[in-house]
Amino acid sequence: MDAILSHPATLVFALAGITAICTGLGALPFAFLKEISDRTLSRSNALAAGLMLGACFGLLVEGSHSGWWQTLVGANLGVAFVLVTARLLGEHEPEVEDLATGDRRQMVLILIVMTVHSFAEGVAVGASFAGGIELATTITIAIAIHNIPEGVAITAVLRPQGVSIPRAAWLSVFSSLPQPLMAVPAFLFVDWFKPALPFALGFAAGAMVLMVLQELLPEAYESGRSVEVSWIVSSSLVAMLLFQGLLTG
Amino acid sequence: MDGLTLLVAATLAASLLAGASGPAYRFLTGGDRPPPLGWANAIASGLMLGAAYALAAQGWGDGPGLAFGIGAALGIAPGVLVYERQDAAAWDGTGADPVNDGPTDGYATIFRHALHAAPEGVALGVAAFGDLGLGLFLVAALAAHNVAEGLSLVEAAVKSGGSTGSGAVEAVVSNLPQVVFAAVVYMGLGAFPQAYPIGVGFGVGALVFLVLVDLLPRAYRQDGHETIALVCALAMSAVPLLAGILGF
Repeated sequence: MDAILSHPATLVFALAGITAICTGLGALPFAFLKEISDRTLSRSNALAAGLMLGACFGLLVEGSHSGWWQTLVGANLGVAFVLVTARLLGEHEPEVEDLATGDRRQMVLILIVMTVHSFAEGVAVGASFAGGIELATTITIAIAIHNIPEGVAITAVLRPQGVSIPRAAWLSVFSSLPQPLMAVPAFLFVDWFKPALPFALGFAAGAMVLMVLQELLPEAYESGRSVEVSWIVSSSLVAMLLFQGLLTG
Repeated sequence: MDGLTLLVAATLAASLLAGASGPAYRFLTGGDRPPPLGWANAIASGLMLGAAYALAAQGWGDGPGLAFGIGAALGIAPGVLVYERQDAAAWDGTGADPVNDGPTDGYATIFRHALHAAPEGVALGVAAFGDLGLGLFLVAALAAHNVAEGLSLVEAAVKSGGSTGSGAVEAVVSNLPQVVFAAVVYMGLGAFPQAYPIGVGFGVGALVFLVLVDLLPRAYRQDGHETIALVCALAMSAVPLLAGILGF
């Protein structure tokens, strides 16, 4: 037991686990929202869209540092993944109701997309430990804080569908569980994982972009005014860019 | 040839290329087929979003700071004010589309498209100031976007009884602010290089806002969200693809 606890992989797992838990904090601001009207739905979707588009930028920049064409190939695979997943979900509607309290395909899709994108972030955390504890600590803290607005984005989609705050928080944490699960093998087999990182980051970005364009934005426009939707998306995108710049700067 | 002359020449060529929307319209409609405006707007949206990402990546440097944020707010705010003053119903999918559905006022249409061209010009000027190669590359991306956007002007001209030629001329005229703003911003940054982060923020904010407030909602109405999402995502990825190949 002592050997397990003292193994560096345990520390990697524990720190990556904390990053996952931080995602749940994104649900807390929604405790102050009393009513979920059409307008709130539109604003929530717009907020989620902007945060996700901003997060994509960080993923693409990070991926491009390791290989721009690999990142782009990954991005297009991510687009294809969402297309196929959305098609499959459309054909198996009952399963959607089993997974969450709401019956919206969109909720399941965002959970799948955000969970899949966490695999890439888990690899990033694990691989960063190979570069020394200072680098790893910086990246782990950055991803932990970065996870909070991602939790906001997920809850922004789940909450208007009637999902409770605790359940939204749990589902947000759930979407980040691949981070500790992937961080450990990425740390132990860093040489094998590193070449895959730009593909994974691109994949995550592509999946999120299509999710935004195909699901979140159309619904935001449908239930709100395009001027309001546009400034919320633009502002939250810029805020996410600034946030990431602050963390990595 | 110095950077400013190159930028002005390339941006002018890109504006003139908007005139190709006339022949493109005739080719695409072939007499009685509806023009693929949704696709054109989706491609334009993707290229502009890709350009915004490329610009942000160029200005990323030590990480975007307060100046970037202020610039972005300045880029978004004028668009909000202008579009709030328009008939909201005409823009949010609950009313007529002023370009495609209703009677059009040629000057108003040109003005609206010129409003697009101004922030695009700012983005071009900023990008060229940071890296002339990237600036010229974005000019090429926006040239393709100008033709796509020009199609809606040609469509509006044809619907109101005009010719494709008059629509094409409107497309060229409405894009000329790109040239002016690109040149002014490029020279301005030469005089005040410390304003560069603000310029990057302005360009990114304005490009993203314009796509969201105008191009994408219209594209969704014209061709449905599934097709448009895919076309826009692919067009968006074309910008970093080409930028990567060219080494920007």
